[in-house]
Amino acid sequence: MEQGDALNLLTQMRRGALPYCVLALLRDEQRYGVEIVRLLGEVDGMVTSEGTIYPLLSRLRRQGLVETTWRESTAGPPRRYYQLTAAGHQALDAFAGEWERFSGAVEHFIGEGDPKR
Amino acid sequence: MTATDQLIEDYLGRLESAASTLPSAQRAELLTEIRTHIEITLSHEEGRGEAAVRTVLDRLGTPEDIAREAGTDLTVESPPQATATGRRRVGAFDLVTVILLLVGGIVLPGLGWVIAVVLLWASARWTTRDKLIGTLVFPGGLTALVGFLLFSGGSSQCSPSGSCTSSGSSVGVALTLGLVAAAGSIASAVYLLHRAQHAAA
Repeated sequence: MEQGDALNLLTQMRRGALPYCVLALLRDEQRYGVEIVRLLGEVDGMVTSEGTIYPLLSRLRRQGLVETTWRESTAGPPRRYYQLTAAGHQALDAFAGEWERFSGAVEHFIGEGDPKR
Repeated sequence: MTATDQLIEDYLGRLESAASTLPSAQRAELLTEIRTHIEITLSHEEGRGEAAVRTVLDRLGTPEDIAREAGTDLTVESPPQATATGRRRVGAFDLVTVILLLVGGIVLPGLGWVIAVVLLWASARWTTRDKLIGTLVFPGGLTALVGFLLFSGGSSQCSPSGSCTSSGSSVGVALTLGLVAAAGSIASAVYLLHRAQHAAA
């Protein structure tokens, strides 16, 4: 496997996991777009172009995984708040379970430290 | 308009043209979201000097990247949606066609079956081979069998013991032909429905 393949794979994995990271940010509370973008941006390696989060949020809404409400803000324009729907909670839980198994398995083999852990 | 406002408008203009292939409602939503993002983010900053604006726009990424991300979901989502519509059509239009092939000739003597054949050949669901099978196996569908039953019931004389006195051998041949036609028609109807479902999947 060439190095380019590995980078490409990681890009694909990041793309695939990103929607679930967004759902996870909304697990316990409503958030507005800028807040979601900021929280994702604070973690290194998650998002390169912040603007691409908005098409993603739009897609999640059309898929019925999140719903939105507009709220006035004391400063600046009205804000669109995102919250999980029941389907969103289900999708997140299903992914979280599988991800734990998968990431644990990968970590078991290639993670640092004792591989027999 | 200040120079920094101009930077923002230029950015949004680029986004609008990059997103020109999106459905207009989706494009408008995207533009509003990005504009709001810029406004809110700048309101958190000390001021909206040129450096602050450039930083916000840099972090957003290029308008082309954003538009591409918005467009990928179109290419990913559209085929399943088309399939879903196609699947629903099997339930209505194609089912009517197949049922008419079978019994159309009985409900509307002769004409019903002709209508069914027209529907069959007009449909994009089946291949030419499917359409030939649907048409030739067997013309009239169940009409032949039902016609035979009506005819024999009306003309033959059957005693209570079950023996019929009408021309025995030709009745037997006609009954056999009717049954073969009926079995063939039902088999080809099942086949057409199966093909329709397959084409929709």
